[in-house]
Amino acid sequence: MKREKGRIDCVIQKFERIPGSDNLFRISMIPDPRVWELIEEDGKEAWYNKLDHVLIPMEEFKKAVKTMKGIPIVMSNAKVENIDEYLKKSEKRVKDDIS
Amino acid sequence: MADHGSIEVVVIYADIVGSTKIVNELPESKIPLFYKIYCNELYKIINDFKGFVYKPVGDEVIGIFFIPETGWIPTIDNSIRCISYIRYVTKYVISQIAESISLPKIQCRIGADYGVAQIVDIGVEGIKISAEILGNVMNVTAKIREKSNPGEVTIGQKYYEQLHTDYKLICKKINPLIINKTEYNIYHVNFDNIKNS
Repeated sequence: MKREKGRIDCVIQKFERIPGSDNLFRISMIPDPRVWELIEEDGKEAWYNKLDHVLIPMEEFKKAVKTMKGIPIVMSNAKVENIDEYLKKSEKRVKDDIS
Repeated sequence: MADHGSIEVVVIYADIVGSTKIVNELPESKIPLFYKIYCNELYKIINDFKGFVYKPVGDEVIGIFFIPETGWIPTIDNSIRCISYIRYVTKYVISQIAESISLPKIQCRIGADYGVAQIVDIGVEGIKISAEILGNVMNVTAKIREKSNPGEVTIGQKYYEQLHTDYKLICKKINPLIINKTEYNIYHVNFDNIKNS
């Protein structure tokens, strides 16, 4: 069954190598606090999205985190210069194009 | 009509504001250059961000970002960065070079959304067949683009939901589109409030 895509951006609080291990790391993350706030709703913890007014009970959040098992950490952003450098490159391209 | 299946996509529509009037007033000899200076550079920007240029028509540039099943977030991030770069390059490079060679000022307006598209072959026997990208997301994005003023970017709710927090924070909800008597939320994206690096 196809899963719906959802996105919760997190910020890394801690990144450390597990002592005695070559390739195991412990990463501690929380939902981006600019948007997500941990609140109490009906006596239970929940993540509240201040921007979109979405509430995710902690129980549901834990279930969602478990579904991340096996999902690879990917890094395939386009390798594009920062905007200042890109504007220079673009200017040269356009001038070459019309010359 | 062969059906190649459905795929999730980000669709970007970018056109030149007032192009019909501008072209009507331009000497014929300058019309190709007017389109070339804008369209060629936009194709390159979309390509740089791993997007696909779909069927250019006049000054309308349609960029498609195919969303993979895994590792889809970088594609979303590439697409929104691509949009911001299109806006900056049009404003600070294309328009200024255009004016320096006595072409009118070029301002773009952009619409974008996320959804499911169908890829089909349309044609009849004996006539060249080309693959078409169809679906509600294409039509809706064209309507969203209409809500952008010169230099503005407008996006649909489905795309907004997938954006990185940095970009969500610079979105401002505006009056919704009415599609089949149903409201669909759309947002202006204020790129001037974000550091692009």
